[in-house]
Amino acid sequence: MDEQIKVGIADLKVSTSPNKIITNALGSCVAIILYDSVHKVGGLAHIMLPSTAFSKIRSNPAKFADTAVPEMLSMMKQLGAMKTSVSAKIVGGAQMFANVLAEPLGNIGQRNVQATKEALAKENIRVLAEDTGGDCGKSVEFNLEDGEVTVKSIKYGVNKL
Amino acid sequence: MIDLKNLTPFQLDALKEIGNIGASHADTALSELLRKKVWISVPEAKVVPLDEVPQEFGGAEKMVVGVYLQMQGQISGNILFFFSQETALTLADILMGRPAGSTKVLNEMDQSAIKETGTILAGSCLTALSALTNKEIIPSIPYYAMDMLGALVDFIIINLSQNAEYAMIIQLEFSEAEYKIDGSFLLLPDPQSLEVILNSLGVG
Repeated sequence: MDEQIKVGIADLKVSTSPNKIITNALGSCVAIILYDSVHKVGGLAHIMLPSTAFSKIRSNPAKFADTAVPEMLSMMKQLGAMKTSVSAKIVGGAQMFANVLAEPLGNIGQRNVQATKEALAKENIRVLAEDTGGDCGKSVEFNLEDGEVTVKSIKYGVNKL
Repeated sequence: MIDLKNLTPFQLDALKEIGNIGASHADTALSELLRKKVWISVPEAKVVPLDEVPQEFGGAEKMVVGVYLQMQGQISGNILFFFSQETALTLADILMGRPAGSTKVLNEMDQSAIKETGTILAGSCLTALSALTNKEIIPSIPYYAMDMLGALVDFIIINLSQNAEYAMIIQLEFSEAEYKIDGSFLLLPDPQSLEVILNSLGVG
């Protein structure tokens, strides 16, 4: 039986085929999706901030792009993944209220996407696809059977990555 | 920095009182604007873990229309006013003087009218907060969006998460019986500002 595993805000989960991992209502947050297509092991992190430098509360690795990537990799290894066959997809990083100029963190969605790419590059993980930026919320379903990522939004309907 | 988990019942009551006074101002302003008797519930002041904020207000996937404003000045924070799409369409009918049920899609004019409603509501609450605390508070211009609640609130959660694990939320629920309008108005002061508020109310 395949199982649907839900990931909340500042949360991450790893699993194996044929399960699905889902996360809902990404705005400025980013979903980092890692998949080992050979061993069919994957993970999804719903991060809030680019790096631990952005917060005084740093205990949760799933909260930051820079700590979520290595954490997810080590959890995937325990399920049999090999780092060399892992690739990534990225979703989210929107700016929901366009041009909120006084936002203390600037365009935090964009910064989250940038930091995610840097964290992935540091681990030599290739980004296969992304659905990032814009001004609408997105929900994600990640199928561990084939690595397909389904993105849903009210503006653009369904987009498969 | 104040520890939100350790706010006393007395402090929460003081914050609720801000909601009460804000509510009575907002009640009058909204009733005048809509020319309908709008009811505002007894406010709540609550402390919610950041990752549970969307669940607290109906779930991350709930489709809503939201107006966001930022509080700036001596007290800073976030204001979010949100309601269902049905309420948004009805509000547009009333504000634009159309027959009930005739708005099907919100055009730019409707969105402006809804944003303006958010500004009026926020303004009346902030006037109350400013008078009570004797601090200067300036609301930003209003921003409009229609999307999933979780997506609308996540950057507010992100901003707060730099310094806190919890959000202190003053919540007002409003409704109008004839047209079945209802919605929520949330005030989320920054943690630093919460301290300023409590100190100026003499309960710091």
